[in-house]
Amino acid sequence: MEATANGHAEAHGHGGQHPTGLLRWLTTTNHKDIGTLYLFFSFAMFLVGGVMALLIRSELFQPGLQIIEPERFNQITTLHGLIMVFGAIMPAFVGFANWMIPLQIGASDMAFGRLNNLSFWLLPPASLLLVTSLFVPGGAPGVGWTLYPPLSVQMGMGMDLAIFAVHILGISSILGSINIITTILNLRAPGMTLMKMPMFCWTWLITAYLIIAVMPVFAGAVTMLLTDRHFGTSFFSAAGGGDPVLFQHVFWFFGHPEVYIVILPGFGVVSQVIATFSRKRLFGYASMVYATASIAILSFFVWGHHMYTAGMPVTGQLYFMYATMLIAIPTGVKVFNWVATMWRGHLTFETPMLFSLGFIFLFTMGGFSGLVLAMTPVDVQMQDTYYVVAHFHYTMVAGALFSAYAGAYYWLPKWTGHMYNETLGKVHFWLTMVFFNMTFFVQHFLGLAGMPRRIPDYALQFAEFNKISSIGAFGLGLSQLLFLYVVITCIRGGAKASQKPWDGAEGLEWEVPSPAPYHTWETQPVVK
Amino acid sequence: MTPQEMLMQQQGFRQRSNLRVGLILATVALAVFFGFILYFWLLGR
Repeated sequence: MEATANGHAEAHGHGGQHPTGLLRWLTTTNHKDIGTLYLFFSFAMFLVGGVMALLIRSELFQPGLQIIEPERFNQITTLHGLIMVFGAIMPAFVGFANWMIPLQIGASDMAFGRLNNLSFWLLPPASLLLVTSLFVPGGAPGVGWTLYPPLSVQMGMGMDLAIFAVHILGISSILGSINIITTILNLRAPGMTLMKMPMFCWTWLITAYLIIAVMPVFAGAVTMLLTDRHFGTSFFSAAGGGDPVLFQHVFWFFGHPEVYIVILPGFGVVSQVIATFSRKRLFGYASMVYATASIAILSFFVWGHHMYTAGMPVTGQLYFMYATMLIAIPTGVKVFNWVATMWRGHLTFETPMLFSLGFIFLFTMGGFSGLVLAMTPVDVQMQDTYYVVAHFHYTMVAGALFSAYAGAYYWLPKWTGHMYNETLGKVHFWLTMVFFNMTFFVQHFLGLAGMPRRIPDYALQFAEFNKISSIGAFGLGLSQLLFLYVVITCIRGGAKASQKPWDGAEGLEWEVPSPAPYHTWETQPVVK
Repeated sequence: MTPQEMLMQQQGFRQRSNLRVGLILATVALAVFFGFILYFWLLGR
């Protein structure tokens, strides 16, 4: 790849024309500013959701009711899920997309600058609505992040705040996705064909299509909830001729693709990091693209595996079981390709690589427990137990969070112009790895032994594993503050990062200086 | 027009087709949203 000069902004002093202070962040249409806003916001929400997780684990430290009332426990469990999915993980990857997609495809910015600003600034009020729902009469929704009726139809005004918040978050995601698709389709530099794009751009392109397809479904479901609550309809109310199970179908038609919305950009990050630190081209690039698309398409046809016990014909159960197992094939292709990329590579184990390896190991475990749960007869036993909690935390935390950390450490030198403290980065990885498994591995056993989820109290037989899990959770939570410290020290100073700090890295983002100037690619690069 | 948009136009990027792609995607999203609600509403009548 060959790039032409990009010093236009500095030469003409454009970099100094943008507003400063708070106004800069409120009015910015610059993809790097907005990416930074997304990343900081998502980490703040990660801490808020994390504190809620620690409250949950504190209550579960020993049997009996200690700290929180059962109603409050359910509310905090619900908000923990909603905040982590919609406020932390999704915005984190949108932050990566904002920062990296224009740099990687050679565009000077996102296609719609003002829309990009709006997409971000919709997030804080929505998150505020979610959190403040804790303080209204009746409290926050205590129904779980799935918002199942009939309870969600009957709850107090906290539910209305959550519905409004979900609407706003959905609009933000859809607008962001429109921006990403348009940017990738229209603003690629000459020569940057679709099949030359970095994997991160590919995974985001597919994710953005998924968001546009399923976010409106979720918005529709909660709108129907709202009209059931306040406008006399009976979509989900059996008393009025509706069907509560209908909501589950609609929700999971959104909910399963949502799982891939969360994880696919992570796949893209890991694909790039592993190739870089193996000093090899990504093995099977085309098959990676097709596998990503296959996972996305299959995700529309498997929603029923979330509701085997809700009442379903055996033929339906069989269909959803086999359809779900099909997803293991493209996912297996990906894991195989990552391993094959490392095969006979000149491997080094910097922090981004460690998080990527941790991702492969733990995400594969989460995938296997997913296959276990895909089997209808097994799931009927495991439904709503801690086995399910362990499974989705292996995919969401060890999957999405680990890949987000891999991406953050990988691109921090490009963002800040400084190298982060490698030793502290590695300490952060090992602490996270150990405490993550301490928290969630034991939950498999709890689930197998029959401990139900979403309960503040439990039988005495589950006490030991819960104690281990709670101690692990506190370790995991505290370890994440180390990341904050590493990032802040990296922003404030440290060894200067070169244009391409990783010798095995490939791509247009490494053709611009570190830190990336405020305006980049004002002169189109030419990709050969 | 933002400075970035102006620059993109100077570079020959297809600004008008950006809007077209954006509008098509927004229409799809709105169609799914209203389509789902309308379908289930009609189903119950």
